[in-house]
Amino acid sequence: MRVDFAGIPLRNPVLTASGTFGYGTEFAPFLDLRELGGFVAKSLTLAPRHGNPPPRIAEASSAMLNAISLENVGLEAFVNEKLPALPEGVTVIASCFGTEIDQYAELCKRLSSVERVAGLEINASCPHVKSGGIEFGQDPQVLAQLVRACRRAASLPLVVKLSPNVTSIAEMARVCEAEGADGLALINAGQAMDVDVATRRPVLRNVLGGLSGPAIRPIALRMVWQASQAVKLPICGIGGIATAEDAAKFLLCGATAVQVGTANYLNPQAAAEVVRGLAALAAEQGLTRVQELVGALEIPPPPS
Amino acid sequence: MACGFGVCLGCAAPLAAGGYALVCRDGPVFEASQIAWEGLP
Repeated sequence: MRVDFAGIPLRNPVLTASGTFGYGTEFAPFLDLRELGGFVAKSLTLAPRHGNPPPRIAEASSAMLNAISLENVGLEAFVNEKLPALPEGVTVIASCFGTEIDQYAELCKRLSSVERVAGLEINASCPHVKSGGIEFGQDPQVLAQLVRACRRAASLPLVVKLSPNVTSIAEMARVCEAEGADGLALINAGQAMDVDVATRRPVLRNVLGGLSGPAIRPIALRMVWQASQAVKLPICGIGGIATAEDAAKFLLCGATAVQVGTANYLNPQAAAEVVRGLAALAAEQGLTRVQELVGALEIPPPPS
Repeated sequence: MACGFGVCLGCAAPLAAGGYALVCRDGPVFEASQIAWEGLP
């Protein structure tokens, strides 16, 4: 099941999503990290970040709301403490996050010289201070500047994780391709909220949060499919994947690799089960390689 | 809490000293004086 995703060699197409897998070692009691294609670490900021006041999470129908707000140990602690704690042979993709473009560029530059980091994922879904709270990934011009700056600063494979909170994912995909990204990862969580009727308050202290989990999978599949039609860049599909069948849906829609996210919380072994399940699925369907599923969606012609 | 094993960072308890502890990993019992009670929902 070996695959090259955006220039990053993976032993299989199953990764785990940023923010759902800590810094990797948290899952060592549950699975062999080397069974996965790799993992995307919690998004890093240059300095450590505390995150939002509680309540930070809430359950929604077949979904989860989160407003953690990027609590992380910061770049230094990641490089000096978290990475060395990982066993050999685990593929690590570092996720970069900032409130300003130059912070992203600085992270890209510094992480590019860290030997254990195999690739960079740009978290383009965070409110942008200069644009008054708009996500980087929501404005094509801002996104272009962001990707351009990261491309210049990075000497590792560069993957842009796209926000679904946009009118045209194809437009955002094209921007990334034009600015030299090596790959795309989509989708990130969808902006959402819920309220408590008894208290008349939002369930999240931050009011707004990101929706993830099985409920968003049809939206994610739609966006992966649309992006795959728009660009030649390899795509990593994310959104409510809990089983091998879910993963296969994303491959059919054009994804070369996938990330398991929210499912990790319910079942820490979910990603490993998806790996094994994909191998079994490929065998069942008589495929030599699971990659034969990529983009193999068949669309019947419209009735005449 | 969502995960219960210290990964989702959802069960944050605000600390008097600043920052957050995780109820699942660092608690669930804390010294009362450690907690910033006004920061709890």
